[in-house]
Amino acid sequence: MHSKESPEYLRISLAAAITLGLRRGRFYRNARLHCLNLLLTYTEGCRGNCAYCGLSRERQGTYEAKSFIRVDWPTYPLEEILWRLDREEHDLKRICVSMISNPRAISDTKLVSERIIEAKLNIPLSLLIAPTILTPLDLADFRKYGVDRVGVAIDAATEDIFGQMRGEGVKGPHRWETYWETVRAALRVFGKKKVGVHLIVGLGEAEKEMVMCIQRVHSMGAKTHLFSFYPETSCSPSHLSPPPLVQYRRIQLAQYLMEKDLLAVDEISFGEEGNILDFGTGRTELDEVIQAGHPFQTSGCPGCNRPYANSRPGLEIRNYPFPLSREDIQRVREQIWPI
Amino acid sequence: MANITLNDAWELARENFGWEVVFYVPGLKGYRTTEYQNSSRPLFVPVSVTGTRCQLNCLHCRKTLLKDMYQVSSPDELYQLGTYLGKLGCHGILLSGGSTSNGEVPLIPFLSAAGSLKRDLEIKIAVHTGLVSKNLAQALAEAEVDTAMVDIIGSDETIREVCNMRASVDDFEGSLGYLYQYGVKTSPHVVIGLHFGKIVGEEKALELISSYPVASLVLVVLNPLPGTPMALVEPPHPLKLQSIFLKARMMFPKTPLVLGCARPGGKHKIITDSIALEAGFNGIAYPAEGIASYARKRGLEVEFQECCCSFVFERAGDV
Repeated sequence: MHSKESPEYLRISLAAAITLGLRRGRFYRNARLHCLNLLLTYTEGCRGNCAYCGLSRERQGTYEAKSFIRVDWPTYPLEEILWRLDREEHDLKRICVSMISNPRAISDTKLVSERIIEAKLNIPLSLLIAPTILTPLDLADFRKYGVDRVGVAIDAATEDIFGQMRGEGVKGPHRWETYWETVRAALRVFGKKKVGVHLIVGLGEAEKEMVMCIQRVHSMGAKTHLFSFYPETSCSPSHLSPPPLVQYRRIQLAQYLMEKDLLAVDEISFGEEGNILDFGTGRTELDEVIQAGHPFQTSGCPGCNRPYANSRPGLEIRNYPFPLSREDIQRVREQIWPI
Repeated sequence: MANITLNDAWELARENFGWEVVFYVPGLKGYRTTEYQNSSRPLFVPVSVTGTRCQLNCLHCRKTLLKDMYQVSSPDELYQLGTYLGKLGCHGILLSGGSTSNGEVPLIPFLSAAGSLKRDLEIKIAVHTGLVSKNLAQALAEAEVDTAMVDIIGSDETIREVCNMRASVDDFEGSLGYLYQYGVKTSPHVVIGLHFGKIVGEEKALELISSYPVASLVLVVLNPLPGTPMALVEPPHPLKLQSIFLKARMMFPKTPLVLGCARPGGKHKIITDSIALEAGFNGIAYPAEGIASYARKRGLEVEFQECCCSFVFERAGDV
C-alpha cells in the first residue's frame, strides 16, 4: 500500500517547496511567493478531463507524477507544511487550497481548512473550488471553517469553448451553467468581491468574447483573475500556442479598467475579428493607468502573485509577480500596441 | 518443517498468544474502510534525516519511500518538529532516512534529540537503521530508542543487485549482533520477494534472525512501485508467501510476528492478509477490507492501534 493522499498529504508547487525550505532554488528577479497553493491529492486523481489541464484524467501518468501549470507539484504531509509555515521566514500573505473534482475532496477540503485555521498562522485562507461536486451547503461550511474567499476556475470565456474543452467535447463532467451557478451561490455566501473567476486568455476566444465575459463577472459582483494560456507538455491542445502578448496585454488593460469602473464594454471598439481597436477612454487617462503598471501584475485574491505561473521567467512576463519597474513599464508599453 | 499446515500455525499462535489480533493503522497513511477509520492527525509520523537523498538508490524504492516522510535537516529541527507534533497528539516517530553508500542511515547526530523527545514528551521512537555499526548500536542504546527496525537480507546477490551495496549477509548478521550486544530492542524486517519478486534469501534471513532474541519480527512483501525499475515485477504469489509465513511462525513460536505495511494492494492484499491471519500472525498493518470481520468470525478479539506494527511486542510479548 503506497498512498500519499489527502487530507494527510497535499501537493505544493515547486515555488512553495522552495519557499518552505523543502527544495533548493531561487526565483528570477528575486520574486517572493505571496500565496501558498495547496493541491489535494488522490491516487485516482481528478475526474475532470479538461483538454488543457495537466491533471486531466486521460493524460498519461499517475496523478502524483502529473505536472500542473508546467511545474512539478511534490507531495508533503499537511502537518509538515503547517509546521514549516510557522517557523520558516516567508512573505506569504495567503493560503489557497485547490480542490480537484474528486468526491473525497469536499470533506477533505473542510478538514484541511479546519487544520489551517487551527494552526493560527494568521494568514487568510482561500479555496479554489470544484463546482461540479459542490452544493451551496458546502460553501456555507467552508465559510464556517474560516475560508474568506473562493475562486471558481471557469477558464473559458464562452459556453462553446467551455463545452469543447471541459464538457461534452472531451467527455468531461463539467457544465458551463453549473460553474456560473456556483459563482452566484458563492457570492451569496462570501459576499461581493470575495469571489474570483479564473479566466484563461488564449483558449480560442476572440478578444471581444473575453471582454464580454469579464463584464459578466464584474456585473455579478465577482472579480476576474486572469491567466494567459500556457500549454502543458503532452497535453492534447498543445498545438495551441500561448496567445500573442499584445492580445494578453490588451485584455489585462481592459479587465483592469472595467474592474475600476473606468470602462464599460460598449465604449470599446472592436474590429471584425473581435479584436480591440480602441478603448475609447481619454488618452491621458489610459496613459496614467499604464504608467502605474497595476493592470499587468497578477490578478487574484489579495496577496496572490503566482510567480511565473503562466509564462517563463524572462523579458515577457505575462503576470508580473511584483510591481513593475520603469523598464518593465516601458517594455509593456511597447507590447500593448501602437495606440 | 515440510508438512506444517495453517492449522498448526494457528493453534500454536492461540496457545502462545491467546485469542487476539492487532491491526496497526498509523497515520502514515490514511486508512478508511467500513471496519475502521484512522485519525487524520499526525499521531505517528515518519521523519527522514536525509530529506529525499539516498546514496544507495535501491531498485525497489528509488527514493520513492523517502518522499512520504517529514524532513529534518538538523537535530534541533527534529526536536522542534517533535514538539510541534507532540502538541497535536503525536505519540510516536519513525526516524528514518536514505542510506550512505555503505548502507548506513546517518542517524547518529539525531539520536540525542530523539532521546530528548522520548524523555521530555513521551514520544516513542522507532528507528529504521540500515546496517548497524558498533557506534550506531551504542548511540541507539544511549538514546533509549524503543525499537530498531533493521531490514535483514539473506542473499549476497540481492544485497549487490537490488540494493547496490558492497556488503554481505555477514554484515547484516553483524548488525543484529551489535544491536543485541548493546541491548537495543530490535524488530527485524524481511522483505519477501525483494529479489525481483523471487524468493531467494528469505529463509536465510529468518535463520539469522532466529539466533537473536528479537522483540518482534515484521514480514513485508515487495510492492512494485511505479517509477522504479521494479514497477513491472510480479510480486511473489500469495501461496509462496504462505510457505514463508508458516516457516516464520514455527521458527518464532514466541516472538510477536506481524505483516508490515509494505505489500501489494488489491486482490493480492486480501489473499495475503487472510493467509497471515490464518497462519497465526499477531498483527497486520493496514489490513484489507473485510479482514477484521474475518478475524472476528474466527473467534479473535480485534483491536486497531494507530502506531507502527513493530510495537506488537508491547502487546503480545508478555503473554
